[in-house]
Amino acid sequence: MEEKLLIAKVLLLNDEKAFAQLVERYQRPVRGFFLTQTGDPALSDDLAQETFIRVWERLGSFRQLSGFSTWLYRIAYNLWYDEVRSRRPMLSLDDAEGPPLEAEISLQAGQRDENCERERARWVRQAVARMDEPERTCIVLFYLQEQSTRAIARIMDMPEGTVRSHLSRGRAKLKAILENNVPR
Amino acid sequence: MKEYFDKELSTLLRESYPQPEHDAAFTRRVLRALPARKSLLIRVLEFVASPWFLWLVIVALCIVFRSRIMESAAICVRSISSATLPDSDTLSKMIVSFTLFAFMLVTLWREAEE
Repeated sequence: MEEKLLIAKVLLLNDEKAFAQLVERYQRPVRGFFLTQTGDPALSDDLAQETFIRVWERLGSFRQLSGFSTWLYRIAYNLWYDEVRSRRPMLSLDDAEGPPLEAEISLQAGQRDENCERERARWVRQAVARMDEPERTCIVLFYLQEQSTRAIARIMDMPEGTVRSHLSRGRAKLKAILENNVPR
Repeated sequence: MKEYFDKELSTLLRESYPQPEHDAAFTRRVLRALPARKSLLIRVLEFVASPWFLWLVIVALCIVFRSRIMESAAICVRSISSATLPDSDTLSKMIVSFTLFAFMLVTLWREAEE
């Protein structure tokens, strides 16, 4: 069903079935966004649930000045920002998997053939986890959630030029970390 | 590694961050957690209290009085070109019309800015 029609049905009729369709449509990207940020599936699902509850409560304030997905990500980002500010312990995917120590990496050099991809993925996640918060979120939204720089600017409430700077710096940091560590 | 950065950073990141599978149980969980529905009366009152309602009222007034607004604009142009002031009755009507129109523009601008 057309997205705008679903939104109208939720707004005017409080139609839970229409809302369920919106949740079905956007649950993967929203849960993916939080999973990338937290590395904790349970916490990411809790945050995603809270995001959708806020969408339900605040849909009346959606002005359609931006796309629905941009507005949704903005709520998700604000929730994540509050979470970071409240200093709840932030896990990374590497914490869950047990990040490799540098010594371990060098010891594993002979076994690269089998573990190369997994090892590379762990290094990438570790490199992303080391980035500063706005840079990481820009990288995640741009490369993983496929949002435009304009949309990211709306989501993160910052000028588009700042988003481009964060992306550029984020790319440079990733490059610096990964070029020296990731197995080819 | 360099080629990854120049061409395939997106792929590299996607491979490193497996995205969650679709989960129907998650949707059910969200629906169960939704707060109680607001009554129609509450929603009507919320809408009346929202800036949208003011904007709608002003737009409706502008549509109703569009001929007067146009007439005022024409008088204004004539007054400027002839360098004379219209009589006080016409002037007060013009002020009302332009104020209404200005309200609509300002409200619309503020909505867009938000």
